[in-house]
Amino acid sequence: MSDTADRISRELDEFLAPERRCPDPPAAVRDDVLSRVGATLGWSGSDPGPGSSGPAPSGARALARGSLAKSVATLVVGGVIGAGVHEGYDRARERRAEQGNIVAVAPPPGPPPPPPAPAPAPAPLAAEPQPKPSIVRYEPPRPRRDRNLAAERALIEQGRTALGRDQGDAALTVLERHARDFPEGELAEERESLQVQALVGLERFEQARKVAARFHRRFPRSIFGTVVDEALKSIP
Amino acid sequence: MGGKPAGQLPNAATAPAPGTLDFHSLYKQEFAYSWRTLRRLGVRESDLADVAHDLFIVVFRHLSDYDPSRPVRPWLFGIAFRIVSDYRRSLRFVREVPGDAPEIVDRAPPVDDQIAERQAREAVNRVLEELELDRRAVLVMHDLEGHPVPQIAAALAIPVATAYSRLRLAREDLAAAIKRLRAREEGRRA
Repeated sequence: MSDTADRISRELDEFLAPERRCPDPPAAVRDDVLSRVGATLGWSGSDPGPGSSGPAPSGARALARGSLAKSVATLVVGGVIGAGVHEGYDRARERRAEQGNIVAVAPPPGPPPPPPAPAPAPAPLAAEPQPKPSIVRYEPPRPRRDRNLAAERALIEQGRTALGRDQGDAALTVLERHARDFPEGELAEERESLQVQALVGLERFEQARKVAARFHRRFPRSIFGTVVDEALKSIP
Repeated sequence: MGGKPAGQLPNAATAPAPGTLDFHSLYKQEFAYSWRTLRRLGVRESDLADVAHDLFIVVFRHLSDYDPSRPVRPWLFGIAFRIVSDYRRSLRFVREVPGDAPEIVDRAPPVDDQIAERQAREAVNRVLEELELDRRAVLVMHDLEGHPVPQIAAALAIPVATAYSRLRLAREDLAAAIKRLRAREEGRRA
């Protein structure tokens, strides 16, 4: 301790000593949290993700050009091959998931769903965004962003899950809700990259190109840029 | 202050070599530190995994902002502090459901010493819970993790004098809370 003026009293020091010796959390907990982080960021299954074998040269951007890009690109290919409009999206389930932060976008079993309502107007897609750098300096007081992160994560995971199941419409619905609720959210980049993939999967190529162009304007250095470009390349 | 915290890396207070910090290395090296920090700042055991997840999402997003010439742990602590601030605000509206998640404990046999050690740790965390978060953060960083005050001030974006003041007040609060705790224990024994 370099702060000699602030020596702790012996009583407090002894009281705190057991906490200083607290054991590390089990490796299983560490791995579980990492897999959840990977799921949120789009890493595939048990893949420990980029950089796991040792130091990588340039942090997050290096990740994007590694297995992250490959794994999400795989999702894109799957989306294009299976591109079907799944009209049976269970809206009641979606509402429950929204309220309870539960990821639930599986198609409803049993009776056919009600006829699909027209897709909501893609207001967030049509709106012209304000330019925003994808990487910002760390600024301590941003309470709203962190408070909402869990809710953001739930929506993004719903969107990603729907996309992985070729439910492009469902994915877009969830992602548009995210855009409404969190226009400048912490996961806005993920949202827009998923929107591009969903639009490509639904063969709404023109709109996909527009969203991709906007994405690159807003997030010129985004780690998801590669994913977006891969999705556009898959347009016939 | 006393000994080094358990699990602390020999060079944890120093900055990583330039160009060697990637997310997974950081995660592996600093997960335990981050976990401890979140718990010491008051995150409930049942919420630790969720909050740690959120912490590392933010870390991932801001990794390119990290200045590798500076120590990584204060940077992590600053992020953790912001997240816990919001977490604790949200707790005001959440009903506590006790016992919904097991505490992480040693897998070694439950001999008396270990039980006593665990109870002592629980007492520390109960007492810390009585401190305001701003003061608690400074005390955790300084007296549990061993960060120097100027580093704490930078991590929490406060003036150095404020950090010293919070440390002093936190210790006063801690001493008072310990007295109350011991008085309660005496009362139970009487």
